[in-house]
Amino acid sequence: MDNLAQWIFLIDASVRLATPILFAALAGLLSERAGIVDIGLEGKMLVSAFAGAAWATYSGSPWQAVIVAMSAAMLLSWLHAFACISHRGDQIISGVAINMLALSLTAILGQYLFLQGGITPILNDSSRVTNVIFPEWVEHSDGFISMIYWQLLSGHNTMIYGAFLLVFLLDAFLKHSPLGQRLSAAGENPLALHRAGVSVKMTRYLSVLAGGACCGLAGAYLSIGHGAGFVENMTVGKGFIALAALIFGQWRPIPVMFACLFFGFLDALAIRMQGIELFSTGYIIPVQFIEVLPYMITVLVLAGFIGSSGIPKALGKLP
Amino acid sequence: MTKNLPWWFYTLALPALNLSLAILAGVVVLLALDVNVMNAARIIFNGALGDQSGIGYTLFYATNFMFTGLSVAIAWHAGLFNIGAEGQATLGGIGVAFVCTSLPPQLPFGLLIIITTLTAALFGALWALIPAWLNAYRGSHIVITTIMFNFIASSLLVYLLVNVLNAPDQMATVSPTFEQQTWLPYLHQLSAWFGIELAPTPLNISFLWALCCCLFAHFYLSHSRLGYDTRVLGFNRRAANFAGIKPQRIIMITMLISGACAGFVALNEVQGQAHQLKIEFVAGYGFAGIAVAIIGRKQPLGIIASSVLFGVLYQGGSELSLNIERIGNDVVLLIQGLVILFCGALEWMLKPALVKWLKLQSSSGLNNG
Amino acid sequence: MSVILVPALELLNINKHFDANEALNGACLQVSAGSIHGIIGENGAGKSTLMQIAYGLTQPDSGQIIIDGAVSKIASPQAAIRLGIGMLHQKVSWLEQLSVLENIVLGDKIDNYFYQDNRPSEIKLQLLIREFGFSFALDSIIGDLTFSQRQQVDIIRALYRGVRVLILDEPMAILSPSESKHLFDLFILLKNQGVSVVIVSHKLIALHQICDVISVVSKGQVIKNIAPSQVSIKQLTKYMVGREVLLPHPNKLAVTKGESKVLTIVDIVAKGINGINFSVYAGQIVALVGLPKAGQDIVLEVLAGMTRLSTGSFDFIGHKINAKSRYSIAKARRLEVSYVPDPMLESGLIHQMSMAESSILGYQNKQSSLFGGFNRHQMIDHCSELMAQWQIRPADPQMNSGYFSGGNQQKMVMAREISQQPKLLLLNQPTSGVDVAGVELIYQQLFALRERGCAIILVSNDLDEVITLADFVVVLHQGKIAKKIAQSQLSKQQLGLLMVKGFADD
Repeated sequence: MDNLAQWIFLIDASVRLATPILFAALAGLLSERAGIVDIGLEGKMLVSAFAGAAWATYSGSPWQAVIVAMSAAMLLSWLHAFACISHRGDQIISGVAINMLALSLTAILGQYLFLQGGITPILNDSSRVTNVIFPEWVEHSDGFISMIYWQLLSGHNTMIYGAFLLVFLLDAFLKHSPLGQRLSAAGENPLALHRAGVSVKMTRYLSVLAGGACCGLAGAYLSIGHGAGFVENMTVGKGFIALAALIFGQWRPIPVMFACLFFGFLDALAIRMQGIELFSTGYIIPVQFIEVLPYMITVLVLAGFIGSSGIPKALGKLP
Repeated sequence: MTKNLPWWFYTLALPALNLSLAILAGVVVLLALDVNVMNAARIIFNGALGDQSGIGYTLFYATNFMFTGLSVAIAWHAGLFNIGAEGQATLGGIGVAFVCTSLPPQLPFGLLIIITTLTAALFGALWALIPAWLNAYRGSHIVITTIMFNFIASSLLVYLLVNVLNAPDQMATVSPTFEQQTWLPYLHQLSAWFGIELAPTPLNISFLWALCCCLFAHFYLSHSRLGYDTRVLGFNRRAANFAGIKPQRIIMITMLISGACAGFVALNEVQGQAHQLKIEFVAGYGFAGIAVAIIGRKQPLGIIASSVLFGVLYQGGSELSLNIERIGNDVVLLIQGLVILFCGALEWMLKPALVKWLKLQSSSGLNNG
Repeated sequence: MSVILVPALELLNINKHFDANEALNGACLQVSAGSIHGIIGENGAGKSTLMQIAYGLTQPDSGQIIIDGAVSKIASPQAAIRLGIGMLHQKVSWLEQLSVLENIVLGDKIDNYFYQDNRPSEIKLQLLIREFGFSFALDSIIGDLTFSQRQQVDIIRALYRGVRVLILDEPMAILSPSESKHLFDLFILLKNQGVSVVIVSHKLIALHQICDVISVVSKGQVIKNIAPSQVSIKQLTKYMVGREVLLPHPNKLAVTKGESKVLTIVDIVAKGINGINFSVYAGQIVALVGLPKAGQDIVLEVLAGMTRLSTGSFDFIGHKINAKSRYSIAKARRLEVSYVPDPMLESGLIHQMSMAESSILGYQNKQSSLFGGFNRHQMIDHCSELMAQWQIRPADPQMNSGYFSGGNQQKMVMAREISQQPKLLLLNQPTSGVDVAGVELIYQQLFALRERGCAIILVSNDLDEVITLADFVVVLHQGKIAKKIAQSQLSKQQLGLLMVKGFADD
């Protein structure tokens, strides 16, 4: 049973670590499926994490804070859309600018508002998004079913369930809803969408803003869901990992989810593997090696060695 | 139509307007933070240019900006957006550290400098080589691959500092301090040989090397055949085909040069100042290179000026954070971000308004044909 | 059918100019309800601008648009669709992986963002399919359909939205004869339903066969409305290309055939051309003519080393080049071949670089020293010289080439290529966008070059130019040679017929 417990622990950690990446990757998916490159995920996550934590500190209401976090990220998304869609600015440059602004503004405001060297005060449990405890349908024991039910399925943060629910909603939305089809059309063949009499500009604006909302959830999860407050640069590259997952998952919600879970698993593994010998040969796999795997995989995907057919055809191109 | 606009429209008026807008936005943020802006400006100015020591630090930082600004600008001329200067600089540092810790200290100093310079260039270039190859021959998006290589570089650096290059007697993850014979001479040491007293600052001879690089780059881009081919490729791919230019070849060459420039940051930071390898020695200089290149209009000589400007901001900004409570060094990063936003992403925002204004001016004024 | 109806669409005194160029100059067009209306005219005559105005893609400077007797403003294609005007572009653009139905309803007004009931649309579309006899199912994936079927989907989408005037741009361009026949039957059906069909095309025979009226557009005006039943195809051709030669015919030299062959082309095949054969002698100007995409551009590109040939070969003063040769544009230049690309492609100059720098494009290797350094002064002097010789204004070598007018840009490209004193000069639309004085200068230079023994291959849409310059004309039709004609036997009417039909009657 010890083995099972370890696996459950590992999977549990993977899911927890995958969730922010998943939210961010879905945000990127919304924007990029409509044809707008989004390398500002990192910055938007950071800003929303800060906005969420700051609001939770003042109001004590986690759900209000989630809304504030989403709005903050949407504001940056609007800026991105304004630059790239309305003023034909370079999507990459705009993304870089957003990342820099986010990193500096959160640090400056954090210091200004809370005077704790850029961090927000630690939140108490009532101002954080709560965990969901499943009903007592299964009794607590060391049994297999009980372990699965209580440790793997129950007891996670509400936002984790939300993230995985969102994957399937988004998948259905893109495949079946009229708006979803317009969104993909804007990224695949904006000319065809234009010929059909739909405004490509408006469609892209909507998707970029929706992406912002989703990215806000990623940030909120970090600071008021999983964590209990904001720390300077707390995303540490998760936005780029999300971009990697988006590419690895070929811009499709369900494969992207698996990519995120895989990257979350690598993250969990990296923590677990610290100092553990491999097959008792005395060789220790460097943690850094596991850390860079997502990036290496992404490069391989981009190089076409794993196949990258899912890329929206008009991604990064102006109509 | 754009054809009727005067020549200074794109080269002077629009960039100046955009830069003012970025600075204005920065001032608004400072005002919102209850900072006395005039006072802050004075602190920045005095801190960066008020005395010898301030100027020394300003130019020390400007050296880094020149290297990364060149790196970004040269790639940009070929139409490549190299976000990987950060990682390429990191690799340069690794190379320099290896050389400085393993070469026999009795080596003639001139030879040593040549070796470390070549190593920094080589390591930086190698780190740019893979994204370049992937872009040229497999069509991979160079922005994403260079971002990924930044992360791989920083993990590699941590790994090496923990496992290979670590200083045995230190708690921090740093390399051992290099032998003093390998240090680059400080400019105040150099000037002392000529009998000129200068305040001791980390400014070292790599500053002169950075100036040389800018001059080389200027010659390369404006007066050489390869530079010509590079610019043609960046401007118009179809015309490049017409001119018989091979895109793959130019992409490879340009990215190698770009990576080498970024690698030189290590000369200044590692060999010139810290004399050891530290985890975060690149400290965002690679990304700042984007802002430097934009303000320098991608021209090597313009980059000298914009590097000094950012050097002033950097040095002045750190003085600011010492003087005004509640303000960190992040103000500099904020201004970089605003510059990239207004002068880069929103480059064309004011164009229609400015064109309209000019039309009004010329139609109400004399008929100037 | 003698009922007098209000025209379905009327364009009155439409003026439109782009920059300094007049595209339309008081054009008037009347399309009756339930008619098939052909529009013909040379390239650049303004017919596509006129259609773009009718569909709201561009706005006229002045003039009125009247739909069913009411003055209307068409601000966008969406507005045009609402007013019952539909347009089929030459290139269809669909979302390949979606079904016909999904593609058509994509532009419907959304009542519910998350779920849409497509059944009413489906029923409506099924009816249309049955009525017009379309050969596809609503659930077929667009990617699986042939071009002709996709075109039909485009038509059914227009009908679904209640189109009353349907504009088609070159609809028969890539249809097989039987597909064209099917399309014509469809046009008749549409006409009988009261829909007006407006066809812009170069295919005069087809238009002659099905149209009720054909309007001829020339120099920004509709110069004639013709009932096809009253004129022959020959006359129609004459109306299309028939205007007097503007420039005086320069005294041409007798063709110096047989002296020295510069180029021999043997059965070359590449993408878009099939089995091209001809020879060019020193001091000869050979023109390649044909409708757009008949293959004349490809022949030039193959000779210039920009496109690879798949079989066949050509022999250029002793250098034999076939599919296996490492032939490139750089190699072509070393063999003293110069190439002036179509100015539309904007590949002859770099707009963001100075004219001086643009004046060495392609010859940058010649201009630089051993270590790859340029002598800027030499470059500027070279440019000034060309500017003086070719009267390029403003004579400022430091100004960005993008700031020069199109005519001056083209003169610079010509100047640069001719200054290399090539043995073979390849020209694509050498005078497009150039004013009359510039054209004369270019012709003089070309004749001078010819006198020095340079062989010239010319591709031009301007038949007057072809007749003025060419010693020998090769007419291409659908990638093959239709006829080779010596200068003494040239007539514009015959050229027009050959280009359109691929063979001449007499």
